Amino acid sequence: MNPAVTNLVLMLVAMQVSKRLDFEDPTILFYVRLAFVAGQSITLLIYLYTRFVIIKKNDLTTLKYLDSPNKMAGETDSKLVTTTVKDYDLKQIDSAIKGVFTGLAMTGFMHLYMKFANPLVMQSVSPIKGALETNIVKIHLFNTPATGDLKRPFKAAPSLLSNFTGGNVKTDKSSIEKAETAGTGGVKEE
Amino acid sequence: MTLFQRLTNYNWKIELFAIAVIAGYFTLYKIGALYNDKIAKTFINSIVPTLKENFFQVGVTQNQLYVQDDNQNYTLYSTGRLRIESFIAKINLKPRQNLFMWLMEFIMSFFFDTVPVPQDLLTIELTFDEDSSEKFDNFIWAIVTKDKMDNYRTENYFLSLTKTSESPKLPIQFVFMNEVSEMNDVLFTKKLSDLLISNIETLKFLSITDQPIEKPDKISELKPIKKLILQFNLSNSTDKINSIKNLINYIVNDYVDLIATRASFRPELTRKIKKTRENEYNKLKKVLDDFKKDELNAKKIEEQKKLKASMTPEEQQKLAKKQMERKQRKQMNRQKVRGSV
Repeated sequence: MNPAVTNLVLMLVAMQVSKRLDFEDPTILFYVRLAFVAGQSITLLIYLYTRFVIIKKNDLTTLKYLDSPNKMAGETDSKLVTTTVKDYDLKQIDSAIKGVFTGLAMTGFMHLYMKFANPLVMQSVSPIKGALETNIVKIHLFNTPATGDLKRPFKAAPSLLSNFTGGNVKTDKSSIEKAETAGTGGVKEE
Repeated sequence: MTLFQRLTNYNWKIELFAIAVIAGYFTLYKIGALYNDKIAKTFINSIVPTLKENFFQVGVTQNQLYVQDDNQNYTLYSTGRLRIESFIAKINLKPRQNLFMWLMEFIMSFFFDTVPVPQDLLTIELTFDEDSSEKFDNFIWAIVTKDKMDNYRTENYFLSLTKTSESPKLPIQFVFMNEVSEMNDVLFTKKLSDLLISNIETLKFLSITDQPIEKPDKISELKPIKKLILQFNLSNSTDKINSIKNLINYIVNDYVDLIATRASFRPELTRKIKKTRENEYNKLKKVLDDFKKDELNAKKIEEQKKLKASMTPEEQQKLAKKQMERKQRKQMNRQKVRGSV
């Protein structure tokens, strides 16, 4: 099923559940917090295990692709990335781990500073679901062959934002060859 | 109360705690600094014999062997060898002397791409002298580790001018980054291949280049300066230091001479190399010209503003009218041209 649809269903269910929970009750609050911490830890563990698998596999196949220019940062030319499957996977998993910390900071702020307990319910389940649906976890944890949608480099899901952040990655041979010797490196830092 | 009584009655707890913390910090600093010093010195001592055999002057001055900037940066210098102008080895170690900084850098490097992961690096730059530089071709040729190879391409301008290709000649951990792949036959020797295998864990890249590390922003910086640049992961282990030493030995003893005498290629191969340099020259020239034009335009506008400010209101009106007329005339002309076509 489409992850976007299941996410929506999950959100509605979580909203209903949190409506019925009495967060004033310290025991319930304790268990909700516990569930949240457990959810985040499991997510992190899934990612860390995947990271471990990636490093162990040590797949050094060379991978070249053109990263889309970041239009928000004023870039116009797409930049060539020369990497290995291992490095590419590590980059993906690291950004996923960063995402866990960002989510943790956001929910922490909402709960500890603004005293909302509702996001805890949602955030104890959805990151696990999200983690299991990540391309990189699918490849390494469930051993799904890296073809079709899972072929590296991954294509970003189409969204409204993609117009601002630039299009998709390119892998065709002629554009790669053109960009390879463009001399974009070694830019002096001010 | 006498002074002695005051001293005995005073509660020294906070002071003692402070002294303990400072002492602890100082010990950690000392341990870290000594460890770094040991890594640097082990390496320096291991290659000094080779350098003494090859270079007239080993050391930054006659009586000083190396310079220590702080507890993590060391530089070793040699000069006075046939074909080589200078040998510079820079050692950049982890900030072991400052545990907090080390930890901070480590954490920050995970979250921000701009902060590099702290590591023990050894960078060696051999610059060819002018006489021998003239005798062989301009080119860029490198062997690079696959791990994090994109970083090397973004950090080093010369590598971003090359093509990356795998080769059965190399151990699987390395790739060639070169301008023309036929160069491999000349530059990749059997001895080098053996030394690469023993340096799989230590070598980051080996490169021969005539282009700079930093992207040039002046025309003068495009002038080729031929260099051989090596980068290693430094460590304390004797095996690793030994294999690094062997590779440096080979390069300083034989390889630089091999490059200087053999690296002249067929004109078909050098054509492509020349083309890349011309392209880069044109690109840079365009950027500089555009910049100049912008500056000139800005100056013109400024001058006009000044002129306007010094004029009386009537004169200003006149000028505005004139400019309007000129604009209209231009438009008319354009329409005429379009109409005639």
